[in-house]
Amino acid sequence: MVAASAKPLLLSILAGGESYGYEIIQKVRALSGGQIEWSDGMLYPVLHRLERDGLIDSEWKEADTGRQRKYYFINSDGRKILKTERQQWLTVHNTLSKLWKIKPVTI
Amino acid sequence: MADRSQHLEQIMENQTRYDLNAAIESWRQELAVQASLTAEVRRELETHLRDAIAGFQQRGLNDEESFWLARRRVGQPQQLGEEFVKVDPAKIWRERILWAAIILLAIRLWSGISSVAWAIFHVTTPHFLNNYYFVSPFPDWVRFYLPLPSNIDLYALLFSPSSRIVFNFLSLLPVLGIALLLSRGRLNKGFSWMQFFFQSRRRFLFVSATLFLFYFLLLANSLLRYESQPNGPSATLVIMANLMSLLYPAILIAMIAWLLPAQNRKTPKRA
Repeated sequence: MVAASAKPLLLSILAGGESYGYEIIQKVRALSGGQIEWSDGMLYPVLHRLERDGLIDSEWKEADTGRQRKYYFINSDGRKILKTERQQWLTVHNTLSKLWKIKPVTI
Repeated sequence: MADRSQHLEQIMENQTRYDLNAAIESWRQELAVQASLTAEVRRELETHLRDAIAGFQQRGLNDEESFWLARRRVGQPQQLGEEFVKVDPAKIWRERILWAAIILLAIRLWSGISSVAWAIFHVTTPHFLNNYYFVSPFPDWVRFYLPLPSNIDLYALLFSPSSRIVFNFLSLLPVLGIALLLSRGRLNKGFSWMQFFFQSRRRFLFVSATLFLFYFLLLANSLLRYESQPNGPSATLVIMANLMSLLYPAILIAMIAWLLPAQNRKTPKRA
């Protein structure tokens, strides 16, 4: 998984509500239709980096099953960064779409 | 007959049943070898592994298959370790210094306890205590409790000043060994109660401050009654030296509290 896209993906998922590692992986897998397959363990360094940079917070909580899990939340700084990331990715997306419409790729 | 063969089959199945907990335990020890994976990260990865195992089990896979697939999903411990080093290179050293401080405090605590035990055993030679410049914070009646040993030679051998040093050193070895094993993530089973003290900074400070105050009061009580010997050092010097000896554990306690990860925030900042 490309590291650059992990940040907006994780922030967007957490913007939709608190979540924990296993659930985040399942969401990414489902949303991408199985196209994005992260190595599960590699998610955690990324999450911890986001937390170190002050974009998300975490807390150990007990789940319904009685199992303790570490939940992650987005904070106000994280939302700000997500906004600019969103802008940048949309710009790239639009530019690429235009380029590829002008010169369609032939297989 | 059919009933019996079914019974036998069940026995066979039980005998070859895969020990999931043992598998998870050995996986945990593989993780613990990686210095950059802190106890909290390992705990987080373990909940992930258990979630993944439960997921596979729900799809009808047996314990062994579920474990191996989940383990592969989570990834190679070494690779994970390398990734976590990049997140916060200083973290490894913070963790190591934290453990060093905990070990030093444990040794200090233990040598305090063992020297008191020594004083209690040392019933027949009260002059020993009089020559001892560091005042025992414990009242005199403590010394009356132990029976006298019958074999005098053995007794003299055991309580000579040089054997005292050797005994003190030997008594520290188990503490050192236990602390080293704990820092490596081994021995978690019997010592999980110790996590109670280190779970949050506030709790650790509260417990150690209470113990510290208790010890200080005992010490202050005996220092107030201290009278200097004709040939010994002055009372002020003895009192100062005893009070200064409190500085070292106090510094260690402050250091551990500072290095403990600030966990258990009840209300995280939410946007």
